[in-house]
Amino acid sequence: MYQKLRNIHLSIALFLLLFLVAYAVSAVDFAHRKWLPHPHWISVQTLKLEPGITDARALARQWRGELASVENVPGHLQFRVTTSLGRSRDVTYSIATGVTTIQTSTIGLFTTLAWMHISQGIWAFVAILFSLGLLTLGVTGIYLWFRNHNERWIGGVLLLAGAGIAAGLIVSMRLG
Amino acid sequence: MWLIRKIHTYAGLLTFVNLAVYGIVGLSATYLLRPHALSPVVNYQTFKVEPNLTDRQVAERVCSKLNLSLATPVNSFAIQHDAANNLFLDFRHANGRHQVTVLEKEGRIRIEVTRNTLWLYLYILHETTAAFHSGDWRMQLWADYNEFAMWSLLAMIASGFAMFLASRARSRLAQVSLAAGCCAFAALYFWTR
Repeated sequence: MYQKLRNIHLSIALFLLLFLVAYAVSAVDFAHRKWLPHPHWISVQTLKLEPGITDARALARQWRGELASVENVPGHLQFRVTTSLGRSRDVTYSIATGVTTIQTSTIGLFTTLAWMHISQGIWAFVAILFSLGLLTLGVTGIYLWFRNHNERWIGGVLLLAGAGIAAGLIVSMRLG
Repeated sequence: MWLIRKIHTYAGLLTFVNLAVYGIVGLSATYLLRPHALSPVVNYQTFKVEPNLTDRQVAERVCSKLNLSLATPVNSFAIQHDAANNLFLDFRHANGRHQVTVLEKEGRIRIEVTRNTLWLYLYILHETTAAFHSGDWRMQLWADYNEFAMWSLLAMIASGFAMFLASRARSRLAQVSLAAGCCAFAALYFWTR
């Protein structure tokens, strides 16, 4: 049992390693917005597409992501496509000529991690799996600690102190 | 390695409840249990506004009368006026929202209470760290403790990985788990970026 749970603890932790780092670093970033740099870059590209397209949805399928906004501009289609991790493309398409300008906004690493933390879509399912993994790590970790007889006393004091403070505050504030 | 193992174990034990809150919030904040507030409840209480008080002073007295220490210090955006120019106080806090209209001529206040669900309450707690300053000592202590838990999580990740490298790096199961996790992360990243 001990060896089995130790393997489960290790396997889950290693499988989730990059996810753990992403969530933990982005948590620090949320807590201290000015500590980490948040650069972003803008690049502009011009393409010649087939003219005469009048539906932004049809045109937007060329780029992966969500069609987030569509502007009404006479003679043009103007829209924005955003990805789950914060990259956005502002597209201006001339219906008459097909000339298309794409302004791509790319974000830095830490902003990307922050998007992972809060993003919906596939990252919401990742959050569910990650949360289940985190809870499993907690429960198996408690078991592994408890089986180590040398650590029981001091560990027990730390667990009771930590849980007492945290749970006490949670309940106390909820009750008003 | 002895010290690293101690750090890993003790950090986990000290912050077990916080990590459990992170896990529960991760489940509740997505599709399974989407956080939302309950229906508002309206009630009235007598409240006499003393002469020559500023709006902020009135807001603080209302806060004190309603025991809304979690909504302190009173933010500037909480102090507003309604269409009839009554003082309108919008107190937001971890447990929900108290929208108070001060009816000075009637000598009472109208209180609309919207209580957060338990999931939304935990969601707010999970994102409250030391950068947050509260007038309620319990919330401030929680914010500081949660900050500690956040750093403890990073310490556990680092110490856990160090222990893996030192003692289990040759384990086939561990190697496969690490490789699979890295591949999954990279695939998701490139697919959704």
